[in-house]
Amino acid sequence: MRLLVVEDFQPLRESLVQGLREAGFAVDEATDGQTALWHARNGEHDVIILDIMLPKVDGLSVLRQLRERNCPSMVLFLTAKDAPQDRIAGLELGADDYLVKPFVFAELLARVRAMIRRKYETKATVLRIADLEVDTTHRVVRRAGKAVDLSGREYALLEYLAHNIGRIVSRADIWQHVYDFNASPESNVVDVYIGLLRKKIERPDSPRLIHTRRGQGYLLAELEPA
Amino acid sequence: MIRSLRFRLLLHTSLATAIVLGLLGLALYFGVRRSVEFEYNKSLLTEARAVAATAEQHDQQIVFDYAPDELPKFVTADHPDYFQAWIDPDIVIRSPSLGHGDLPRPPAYSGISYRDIVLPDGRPGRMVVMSFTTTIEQNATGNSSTADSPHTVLLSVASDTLSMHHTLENFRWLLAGWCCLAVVVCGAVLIWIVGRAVRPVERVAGDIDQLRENDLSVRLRSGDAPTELAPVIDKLNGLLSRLESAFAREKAFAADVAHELRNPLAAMLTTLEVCRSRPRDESAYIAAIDKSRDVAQRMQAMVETLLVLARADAGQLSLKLQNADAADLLDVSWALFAPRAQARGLQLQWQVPAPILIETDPERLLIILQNLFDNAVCYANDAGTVRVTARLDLGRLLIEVANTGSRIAPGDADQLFERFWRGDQARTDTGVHCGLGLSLCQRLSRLLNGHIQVQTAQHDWFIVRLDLPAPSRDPHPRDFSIPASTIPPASPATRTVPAEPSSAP
Repeated sequence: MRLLVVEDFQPLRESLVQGLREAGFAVDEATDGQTALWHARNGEHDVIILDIMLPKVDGLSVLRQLRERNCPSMVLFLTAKDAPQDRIAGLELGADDYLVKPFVFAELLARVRAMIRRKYETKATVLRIADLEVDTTHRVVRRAGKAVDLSGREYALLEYLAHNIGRIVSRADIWQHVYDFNASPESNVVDVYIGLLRKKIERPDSPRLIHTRRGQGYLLAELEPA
Repeated sequence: MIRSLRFRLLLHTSLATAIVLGLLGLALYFGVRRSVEFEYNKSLLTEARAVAATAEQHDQQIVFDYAPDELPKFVTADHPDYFQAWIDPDIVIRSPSLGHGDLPRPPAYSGISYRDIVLPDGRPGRMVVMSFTTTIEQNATGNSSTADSPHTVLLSVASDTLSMHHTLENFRWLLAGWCCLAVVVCGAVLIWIVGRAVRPVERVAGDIDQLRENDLSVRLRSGDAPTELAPVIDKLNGLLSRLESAFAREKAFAADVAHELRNPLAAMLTTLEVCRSRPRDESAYIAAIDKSRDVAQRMQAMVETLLVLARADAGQLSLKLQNADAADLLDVSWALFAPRAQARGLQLQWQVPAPILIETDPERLLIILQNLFDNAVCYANDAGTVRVTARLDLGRLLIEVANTGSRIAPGDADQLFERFWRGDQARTDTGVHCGLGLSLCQRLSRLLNGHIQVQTAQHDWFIVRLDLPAPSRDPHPRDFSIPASTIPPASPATRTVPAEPSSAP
């Protein structure tokens, strides 16, 4: 899942980005409203964590512009403004959640995960397909009841696929939602990770779950044997 | 009670009304009595003239020739009138009602006169005294006797004044009754009028009573208030406005403080929580601790700035004047920011003659200078210029700290000194610049009997002018000291420089 953290106070931004990356999210960061709008132009972020008092363009204006462009990202306001009218203004502009500073980081994580579930219209925290279980809260994967040890990126990829069970996701989608901008999207990073994931997930005695659709992308689904 | 406006108004107006009514009553009574007495005297005189008209002189003999029914009042035995006539010194005639009694003999005649007497039968009465000359009756031949000569007769006529006194007494009582009734009616009317007059005062008092410290937006209604009360209401409303804005400022200030403290707190907590969330190597812990300490130091700087401001507001900041070299203070202050200025590629124009010996509080002056340098180095444009000039002029020390890259609108120059004001209202710059520096400089320069002002009109220069009194008592400073790096701005060595400088302090 890809997040955008917009926060001008450097120490806070650094810690947020570190904590969210360690929690398995792909995280982009912006220090002001203008940069945030540039980052969010393609709407590839699942959740945008947005401060209100920002240089150049304030958070409320950023959100207004995002909503005008029909940006599908969920937006969480993370701000020191705690007055009810501030919360109301934020939520009425189209924010999906509002958290007042100072906050407990675990709560922020929980809210971000809840927003992702809302975005992909999955209420369950454990996603299941056949005998595969993806526990999005504890970031644990089981196949036939046995824990599968995945790296952070492998887990992120599987979770994204699991949120889109039965839907074909393109390489570009995966790239946008799962990985940071430290390699070009044209590279075969996605294919490499799909390969790694298959090795760990698929069992000879269980049905195949990760399918390749040539020219379209990948699909996580339990398909009837052809 | 005696302090009540309503009571005082009632008391005074009632007293005035009673006095006026009493005086009017007295005047009316005496006027009526005078006119009644005049009429009485006139009728008494008419009676006397009627008696005189009956007098005839026959051969030295004076005869009052009248039939009893012509002058019945002098004949009757029941409450009669009396007359008596004298031809000096003898009594000529008494009215039948007098019998052998006498009326008091008047003194020598001097015109018509009236006097109050007691009548022979004991009744109170009034007597008129007049004189007339007898007419001589002609004899049968038609010739008058030569021996006859007219006599001057002194005539007194008296009548009782019972009915007049009775009438006057009735009138007196009637008048007194009416006066009392008038006082009562006036009193009632006054109570109503005073009540109406005092009502606006009571309404204003009621309005004041409704005021609550948590809602100072209410204003007293001037509505139908009398013009005398309007200035009071205006003054009270003015006071309320000032109180309201003071409370609003305090509230906004508290909210700003809370807001400014929340950001660094959030940063510290997040840093510590993220660090604690999994096992890490030693360097990661050290980095997290250093970062938290850095943020804590920024918070400390802000809190201490706020404390200095609060003490300045409360008049609790003391001044320790001593001889100092302002040039040296400028040098020492700049030394703290020189590395940052160098890192940002800023040019320094230093126009400070040395020494500048003045008497001041070096500790306070250092805080001002450090804040000004901090702003200049932070907000100058990349590869811009910082200019520092100082000179003594007519017992004043004029220090100017300027930087290029100003983006402050000329209209915002005054707001720069407001607490928590920033050029970019959405910008936080938390812990770095929270909009307290210039406010602190202003307070401290006032404490040093100087003043500080900002000039933004000159191209892109942002110029701060500090004007301080500079009495130098001793050209050779003896007690010269520079305190170790002091209070806010917090240790600039640990300060991060924003990637994109803004013009706002």
